[in-house]
Amino acid sequence: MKTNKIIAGLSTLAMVSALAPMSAFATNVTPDTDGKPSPASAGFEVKYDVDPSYTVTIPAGVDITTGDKTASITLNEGALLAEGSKIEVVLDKGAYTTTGNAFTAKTASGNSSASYQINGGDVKVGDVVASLDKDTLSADLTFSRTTTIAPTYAGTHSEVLTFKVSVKTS
Amino acid sequence: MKKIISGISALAMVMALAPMSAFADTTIKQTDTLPKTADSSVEFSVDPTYTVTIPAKVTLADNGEGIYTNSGTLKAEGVKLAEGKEIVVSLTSASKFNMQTSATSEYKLPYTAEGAFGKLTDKEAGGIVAKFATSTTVQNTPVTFTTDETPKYAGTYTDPVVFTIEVGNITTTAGE
Repeated sequence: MKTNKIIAGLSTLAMVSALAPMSAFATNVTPDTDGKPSPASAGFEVKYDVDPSYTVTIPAGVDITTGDKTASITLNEGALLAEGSKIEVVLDKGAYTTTGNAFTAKTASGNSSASYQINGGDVKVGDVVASLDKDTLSADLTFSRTTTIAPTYAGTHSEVLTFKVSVKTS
Repeated sequence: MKKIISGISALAMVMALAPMSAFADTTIKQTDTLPKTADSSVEFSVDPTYTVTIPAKVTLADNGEGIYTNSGTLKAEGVKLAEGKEIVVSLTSASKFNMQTSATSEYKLPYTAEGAFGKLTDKEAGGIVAKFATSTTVQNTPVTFTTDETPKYAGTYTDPVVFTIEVGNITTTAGE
């Protein structure tokens, strides 16, 4: 007697829309010479890709007029990264600071400079300032004024810092 | 006979914080092409600082010709202002620069003040006697007071004057 051989599949739900094409392994089961189903079992591959999902937030800026301020680079709760991957944020450059850990802010005219540091001088241009994953969702940067460069004039001194965000796989 | 002009000692420090620019956080998502850069601004305001010292009084002395004169020194130190700004010191006298031996005395001894930009000719309005710019050095400006005539009577003549200190845009004053 022929037996219906039903191989049940699984309904799959993917968290993201970009599903890779599923491999198709069609297996025909037929009676062997003894009337037994051959092959007696068949494999069925269930596959889906989960695309990375994350939001990295770079703070707009800090005002350290009244004292030290801490700004955080954050990764959202529930972010999905490939196993072993991290979001890496590098302090790429400053508008006036291209190397080192002594940062310079200037007035709009550029005629007055003043200095500041990040994390007590531990951070320099080119450093990885955040390495984020599901276990480490934020990295703090503390900005402090220093007296290395005395401003020539009173007024607002500022510098734009550029951070570079990438995914690193170990 | 003493001629005393009393002034006002002033110690001024202005806190002028500039408003912080409005920034927006940058968010980077999985749909962005990496690596991607984001800018963040570090900003702080350097407060203006300065100390202007006005002599408490100036006692005039006879120059030997019946005219009494002497100078007081306005001192400014640690002056750090916003670019394009300067400290302006003006001098006025409620009596229009006339000394008296008492508030009820009829006789008034006229005198003239002279600062960095010459004699104050408008005795009703007074005028600017000193300007101080941003500098790391101590700045001194003498202000000389001289009677316009020989006093008619003996006595101690006094007149309170007022020094007004303002921070304004750098301008050119007549006499500069």
